[in-house]
Amino acid sequence: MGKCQISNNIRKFRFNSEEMTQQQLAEKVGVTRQTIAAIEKGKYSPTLELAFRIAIIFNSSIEEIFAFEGEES
Amino acid sequence: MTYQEKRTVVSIISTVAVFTAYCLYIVQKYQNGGLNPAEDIRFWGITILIFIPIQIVANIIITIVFTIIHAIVTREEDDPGFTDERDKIISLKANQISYVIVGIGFLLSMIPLVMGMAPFVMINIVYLSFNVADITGNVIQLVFYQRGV
Repeated sequence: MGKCQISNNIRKFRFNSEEMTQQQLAEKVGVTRQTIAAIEKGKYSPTLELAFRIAIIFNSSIEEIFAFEGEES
Repeated sequence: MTYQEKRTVVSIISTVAVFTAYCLYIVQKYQNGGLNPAEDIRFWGITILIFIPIQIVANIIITIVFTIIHAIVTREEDDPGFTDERDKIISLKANQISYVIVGIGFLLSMIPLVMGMAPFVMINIVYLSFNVADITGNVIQLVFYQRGV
């Protein structure tokens, strides 16, 4: 538990995709709307599979949507 | 508060309600003099065997009633109808903590036996630990849903 170390631009990508709603995105990637909301708020780090699914929906790469903000070793 | 958080709160209320009913039943039985707790092991076995299915059925009924009322009050289908990866991770983490509490409860229940106390104390500690584990697991789920996982 704690602050999620992965930031994302999902909200921006949704806006640029004809203002896609959280519910619409959730249905496309097979999760609940609450999970999309939690990801956008930084309360949940999605699995790699879900990150790929989201990236595919927006025709982008994972790096364009998600960024790791943790400490570098 | 999301649908999952509300459902978790309802589950906590359900568990507390049934456990309270159990406690009231035992106290009433004791006050009526119909209970010899030090000797009647059979009574405790029957009581717990009755209350466990009651707890399961009560939980199912209360959850169904909650879903119906929630749908009527909010006038929207907030119930996703399935559990996704986040729900599963939260559930797994909460279950891990619940198992630890049940384990601790079982170990603690051995103490009355070692001290030569009546077996009903051990039985009730085990039953209490199941309920505490259930409630704690739900509280942990609530915390994970609100703070993130």
